[in-house]
Amino acid sequence: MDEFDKKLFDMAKNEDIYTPTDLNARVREALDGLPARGAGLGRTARVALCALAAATVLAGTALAAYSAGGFKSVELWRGKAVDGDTRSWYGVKGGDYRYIPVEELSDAVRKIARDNPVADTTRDFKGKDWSAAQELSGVTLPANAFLDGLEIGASHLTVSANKNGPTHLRFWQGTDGLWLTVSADAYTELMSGVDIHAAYGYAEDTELRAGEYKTEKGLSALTVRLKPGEGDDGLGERAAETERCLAELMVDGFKYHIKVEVDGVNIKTGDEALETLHRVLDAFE
Amino acid sequence: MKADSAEFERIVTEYAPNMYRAALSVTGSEAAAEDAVGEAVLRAWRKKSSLRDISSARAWLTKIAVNCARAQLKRGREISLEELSAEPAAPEQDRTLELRDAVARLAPDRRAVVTLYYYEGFSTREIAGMLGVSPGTVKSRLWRAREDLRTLLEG
Repeated sequence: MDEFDKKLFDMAKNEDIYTPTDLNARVREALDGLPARGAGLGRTARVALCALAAATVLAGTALAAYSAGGFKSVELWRGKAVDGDTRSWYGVKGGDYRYIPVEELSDAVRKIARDNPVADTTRDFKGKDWSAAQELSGVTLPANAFLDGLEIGASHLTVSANKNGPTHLRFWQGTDGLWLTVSADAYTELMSGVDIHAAYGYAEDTELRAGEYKTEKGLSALTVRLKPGEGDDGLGERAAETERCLAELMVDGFKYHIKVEVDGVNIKTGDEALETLHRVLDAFE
Repeated sequence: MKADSAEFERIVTEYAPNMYRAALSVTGSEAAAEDAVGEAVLRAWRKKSSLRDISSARAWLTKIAVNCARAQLKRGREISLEELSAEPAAPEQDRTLELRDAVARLAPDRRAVVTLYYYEGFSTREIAGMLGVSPGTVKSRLWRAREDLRTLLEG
């Protein structure tokens, strides 16, 4: 360390930490809004969370039963429990499943892929192939569980893998809810750079629907349909969250595009789509 | 970490200024830094179980704040007219430039490493982890930043 280095350290040490006067208020606001403290969730969401707890158990049973038949892809389920704790469980051929913390999700997928080398199960689903997606996933939930549980914070994630590891991850929510396919190339960054739980947050009792997608090079495309739900108060807030999450997915290396459909009218991809999305979200405010 | 709400609140309140300064070094915008801190608190709450050791809370929160600040940059935050029209103040002739004024004039990547190194006291390896670059890159940015600061502070 030379003299100039020491000078810099001294200057830094003796300088007051400059913070804006309202930072504390901002932090306070954030603390007060933490999900587990009950803020930000309407009655519908709370009811749905309760339903989800039951749905998770049902799903576990279904997967175990199905996997005995030779299920070949790795599955991961994420659920948000009533107490706000977020857990995931996975199942592989043979019906083995257990809960894992979300933070260990990434490692768990790698381990499963390593321990269970299987044929490439990558498969694309489009439009009406939803039932086929369910079949491959091996999970069938009662309709009301989907409606009450998966429509909100919980999500379904299927990982397609081959002997080299995960190839695609597919997320969905509800029978016709959001689904999004991400290539394994983007996987690591997605897991580290994007809070998937938050990414799903935008579907929380808003009427957010997504349908078609087509896989782009290394990326996913997403069709989003936005429609306010009846009697849905606070939609603006969740719409803003939608915007935030979608924007968050747009990280370097993700050359994916968003295709926005509003009232049945397709909007072009790219900037125009985003612009439209922002306009729609503004209108919700 | 089995931190309860009170413990979480304590560490967030204590380290909010550090989070803010780190975020500011990345965004260069006070408003964006505030947004990043708010978002970082929420993200930290969701991921609090990944904090194994309470003694590393400051580094953990700083890293989250840096990530949120970088996300702010990537999403191209809207800039207010005031911010847009504001030009960096010229150094006053009769006033010694403070370090933070000089740091504000650095390129964003150099600003971040200087803040995390000199103000927050993180090692180059820790900074590399926070910024997602190699320790060598951190050292090189530090070296260049030092040269810039030398020019700014000593002429």
